[in-house]
Amino acid sequence: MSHETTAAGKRFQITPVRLLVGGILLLGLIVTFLRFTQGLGAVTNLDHNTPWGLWITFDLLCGVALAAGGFVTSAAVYIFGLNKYHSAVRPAVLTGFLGYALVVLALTYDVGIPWRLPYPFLVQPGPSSFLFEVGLCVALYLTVLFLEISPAGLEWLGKSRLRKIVVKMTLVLTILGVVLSTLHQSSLGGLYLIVPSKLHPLWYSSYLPLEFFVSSIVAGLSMVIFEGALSYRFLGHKMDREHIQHKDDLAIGFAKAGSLVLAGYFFIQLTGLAADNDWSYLGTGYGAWYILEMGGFVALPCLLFALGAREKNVRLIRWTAVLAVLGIVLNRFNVSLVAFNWHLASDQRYFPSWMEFVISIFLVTLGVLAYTFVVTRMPVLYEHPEYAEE
Amino acid sequence: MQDFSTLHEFMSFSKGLTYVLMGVMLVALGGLWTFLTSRDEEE
Amino acid sequence: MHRRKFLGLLGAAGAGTVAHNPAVAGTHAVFPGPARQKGVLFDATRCIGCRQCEQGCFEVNGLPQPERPFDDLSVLDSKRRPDAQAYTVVNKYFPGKKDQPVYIKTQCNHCLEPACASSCFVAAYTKTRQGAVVYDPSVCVGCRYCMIACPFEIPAYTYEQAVTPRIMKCTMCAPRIAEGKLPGCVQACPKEALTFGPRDELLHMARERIRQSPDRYIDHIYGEHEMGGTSWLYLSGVPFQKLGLRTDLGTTSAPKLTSGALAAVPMVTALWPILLGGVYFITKRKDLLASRAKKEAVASALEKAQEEHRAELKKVREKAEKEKQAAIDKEIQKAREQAASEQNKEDS
Repeated sequence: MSHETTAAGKRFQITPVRLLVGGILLLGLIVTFLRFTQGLGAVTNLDHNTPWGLWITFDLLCGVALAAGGFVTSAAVYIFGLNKYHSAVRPAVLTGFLGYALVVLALTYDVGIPWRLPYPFLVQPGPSSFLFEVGLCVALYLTVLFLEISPAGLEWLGKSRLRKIVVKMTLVLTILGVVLSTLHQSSLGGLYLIVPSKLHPLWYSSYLPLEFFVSSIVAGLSMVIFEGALSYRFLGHKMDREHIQHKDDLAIGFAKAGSLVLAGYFFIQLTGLAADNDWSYLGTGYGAWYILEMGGFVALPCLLFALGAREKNVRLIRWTAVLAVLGIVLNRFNVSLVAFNWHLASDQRYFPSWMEFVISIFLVTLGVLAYTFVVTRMPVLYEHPEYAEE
Repeated sequence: MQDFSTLHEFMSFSKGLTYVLMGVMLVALGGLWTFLTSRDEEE
Repeated sequence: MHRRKFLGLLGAAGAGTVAHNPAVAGTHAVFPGPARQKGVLFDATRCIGCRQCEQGCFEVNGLPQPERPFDDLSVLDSKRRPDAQAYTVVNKYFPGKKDQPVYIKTQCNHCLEPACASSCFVAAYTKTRQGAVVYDPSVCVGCRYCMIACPFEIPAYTYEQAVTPRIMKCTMCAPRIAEGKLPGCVQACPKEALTFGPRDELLHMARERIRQSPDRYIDHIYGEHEMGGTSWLYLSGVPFQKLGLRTDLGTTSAPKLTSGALAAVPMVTALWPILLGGVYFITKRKDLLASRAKKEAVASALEKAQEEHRAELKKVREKAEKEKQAAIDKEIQKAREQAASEQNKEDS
């Protein structure tokens, strides 16, 4: 999706993709206008029984999980010293930053009074709430991500002294990033601890915080693999030799890790079943759905990642990464929408309105556009020659 | 010594204090870290 | 500061901490709730479904005019829930015989440990001294987590409001009861199906009613222990689940459901930096040792190569010396031979 530049300047060609993107942006702006002038009721299908719908489920829960590649990759490189993944750090951190920025943007659509979002921290905190925890840590982490990605921008702008100061903080920022990520990823799961009566027993567990955190690591690893493949395909001309050389190593290494973490996650889920003695639920309709989630989207990618890593089959690894990402998305949808309010009659259940879909797609499109913009201008997929590894 | 009539009141107080403590923890650990590593020779 | 003085201060601080009166510790303490908190007892055996309680609520709270008037009893033919215009609704059920309806009034149960208050990240809910759970719209951000958290599905949201939407929920007429008046619904009820008073007295009253008419009532006071107990209590002649009240909620309060996991949060801050810092140090040291070992290997290899080179050089030099000596000897021999042959020539 790169803009063609000729010696004479930018020549903007109308391609089908650009038409589609333009359409999404236009529609998104219209629905945005409607949401803020007519209220949530005019745009969403949210009701009193289901106050959290597509936006919370996809843009917040999935968005935060899928942006986890930032802390996973920077931890691998700067804390665990796995320097061969160094070229993956900036793209992952950029994705993380854009992902979290979009989460905050999505929240301004979803909450009733968005300009009051700072209230819990500036006016009156409610520290007994897991949502307080989520908000605090997301806000702080967004700052950390911004600082982590700023060297790319600073190199682009030529501010080498400022850049040097920020780079010195890398280790501190990385550790802080892992701490904050652990806190808010797990707290998103913690949100649902308060509703054992509304969440189906197969998905409700006192291990929900741990499950959300561990699966976020899977999401991070898989997204880095997935995005690496996409970046290479569409933006490969922007990558320097180091990036291209290491991309296969990255896929294999992350697949190994992904396999292990998925196995751990599977066992945590299994333990949850045993602890609450939920076995009888497996024979129900919801049980079949749960088995599908755990079997097809946790156990299967675990095995496929292992196979791909052993056979060094990067293609298999890439497709498995897609499967794993879908599994995380499925899990968040299940916890928040499918298994939540399972006790309600079917005519009381919620389904998103088309306008809710528009906004979710609109926000993802903004993210992709922003990513492309940054990556085609700033040293993310390549190393700035002046600042090559010191 | 406060009078807490509900668990929620107690939690709001104790968790509030805990969050402040968490911030202090991070700053203090950062300080200790710097103190420990400041004399490490650059290779 | 002198060391002795410093240590002395430390000791004093330590002693002070120990001698201090132990504050209430959260893990095992039982929180009694506000003393003499009020509640309401609803007796389903007395309710006739006249909806005058709904009208009373509407009048005292300045709620919007409903679509159908309060004396229109046909609304009872479909199930309703409290919504953005009504804090309370009455529903009709046929739990037993076909033409014997039982009515139940639904509204906020003013839990002893409200899930809404526990879940609100801006502390917009308060359990008052009176026992009412009240909502403050002036700080509400509109996150709607309270609606998720409430096990009774009570809070409603004014989604149609574009600029300042808010939660709508029964307030137990907190301002009125603070003045010693009755809540609007209790005041309006013609059948004394609703009784307002101190919660412990209501419990006593309820037990008395059950004791005196065991055939009339199910032997259970709904709200006594559910979700840790509620201020709104229910008596019924038919099983409570037949009246739309969930009996599978358990007795653990909402804050108790989250307190364990919340307690683990600061452990992450305390331990992760240490663990990760440790890994970093270990990795760095490994790398340092590896690079040192590498350097040493290179240095010793270099030295070895130099030594070999020196030995080679020595050999070559010695060889050259030998050859030189041999050449000199040869020359001397040649010269001698030449001198000898010249001598011979002269002799002849």
